[in-house]
Amino acid sequence: MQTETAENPKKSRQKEMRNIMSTTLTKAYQLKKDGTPLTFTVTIGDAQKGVTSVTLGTSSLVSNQEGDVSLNIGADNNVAGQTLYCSTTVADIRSETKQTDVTYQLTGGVSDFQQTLNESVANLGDVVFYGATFFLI
Amino acid sequence: MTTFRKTIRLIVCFIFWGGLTRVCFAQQEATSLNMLLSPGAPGFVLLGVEPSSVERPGNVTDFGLNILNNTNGLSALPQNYAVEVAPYWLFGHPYLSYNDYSGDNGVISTVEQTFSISLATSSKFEGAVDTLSTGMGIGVRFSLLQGQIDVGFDNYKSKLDSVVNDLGGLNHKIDSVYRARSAADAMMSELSNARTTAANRNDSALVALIDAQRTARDGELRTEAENEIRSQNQSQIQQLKSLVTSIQLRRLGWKLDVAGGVVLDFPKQSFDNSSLTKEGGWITGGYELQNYSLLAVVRYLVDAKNSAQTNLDAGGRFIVPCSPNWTLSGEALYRSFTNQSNSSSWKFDVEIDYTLAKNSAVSFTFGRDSQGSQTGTLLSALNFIFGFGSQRP
Repeated sequence: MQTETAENPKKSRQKEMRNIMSTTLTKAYQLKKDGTPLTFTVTIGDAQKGVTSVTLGTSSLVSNQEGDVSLNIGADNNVAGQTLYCSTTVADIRSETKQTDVTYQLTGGVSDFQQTLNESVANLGDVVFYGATFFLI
Repeated sequence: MTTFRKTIRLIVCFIFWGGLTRVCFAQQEATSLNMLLSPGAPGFVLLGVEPSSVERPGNVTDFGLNILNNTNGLSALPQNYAVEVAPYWLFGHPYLSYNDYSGDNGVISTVEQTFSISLATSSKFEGAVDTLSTGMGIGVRFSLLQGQIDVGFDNYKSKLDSVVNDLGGLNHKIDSVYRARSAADAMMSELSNARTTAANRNDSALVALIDAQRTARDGELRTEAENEIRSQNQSQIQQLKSLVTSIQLRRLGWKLDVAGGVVLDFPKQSFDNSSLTKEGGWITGGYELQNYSLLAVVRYLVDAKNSAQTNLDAGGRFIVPCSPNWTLSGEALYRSFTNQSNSSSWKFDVEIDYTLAKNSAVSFTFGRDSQGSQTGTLLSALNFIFGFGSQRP
């Protein structure tokens, strides 16, 4: 699947979905810089339990919120040049599966971004640390 | 016997089993009803070797194995095996939140999450010359009603809250460590400055290169932070894991399962001689309370070889948890044939279930069988359940 990058905005699409066997992602997110509000969403899947912290620059937006998170980051003009940090810690509490998934979604920029990170654990109760970093440019 | 007398006899059976288990109320503790012992796979039912005829709804793991030893003397090697797979849980579901799972999300979601396919085999000697033949049962099963999670059972909710609290502590630590490392990292600072310069010069190729390097370095910082947190918090992580594995999920309320399948026989164990010999479907439903459960089944089995053996079963089962590891249950099943010349019969049995360890359990069934030519004979079966892939709590 094609990857939208900063140098080829012509190839951008509304949503880009990828399932990647990884627990971290880093993204240079291109802003329109026209005052469009940015929305950031974190979804914890597979019926697992997890908490999320979100920080914009040095300001904490959300601290250890359980379950799904949906935030209005602010107008893109106001956040350009800052970095959005997100840490999600998930525990496998489901006896039916060993899969853990976290989906990060950022909208309001030149193109919407969505990516699912996943990892299978060895045992019930294992903890997985997920992380996402967005350079807002 | 008239239908009324048959009904009265059935009610008396329930009362009898209820009285027999009265002792268990005095010393019972909450137990993991949802996870104690998956009943026999639908394939076993079709093959006619199921340890209990009234199956307990709703136990799902992504892959499970049943080993059934059904002999009079419990002296032979296991002869009957079944594997059961729940396809839904073999794949990831990124948008299935915990609230979606634990709440009432409709019949379709329930069916998806509980649907399982089983494959069972049973070997037996048949005919005057005692030829070994194998039957293979292919069954499916799913739930329409699963009941509601009992949040008070074994401190379920408070344990989950503790899990969330512990996750918060770990998340705070790793987030703080990572951001501190990132802020102090000289390489990240240089890359950021270089990117700004390259972007101002509209050097897209260099920008892309810097973005790739920054991505790689950020990943390294995340990994370093995780390694540090895991190293410094081993006991806390292990305690969290122990807490999670101690959580037992139980669903109470109305339960309704649907199951069915077919049987292929392989006379003299020859693949080329296989034939479809049985097919059937059944519904199991009931109500589960904290102290006991009452289930009923209606089952229709078609014998493709001998239509006179096509039968309709109806029965019930009463289940009582006696301790965290022990469960006692009793069932009665009435079998009638579509061909009136065949005599109807009763099956009674008592089952004792015991949780061996995480992900494994054993059941012992003893009673009076009513399967075909075995009507009235002793039913004695030892059944082992193992869950592979994912661990049962």
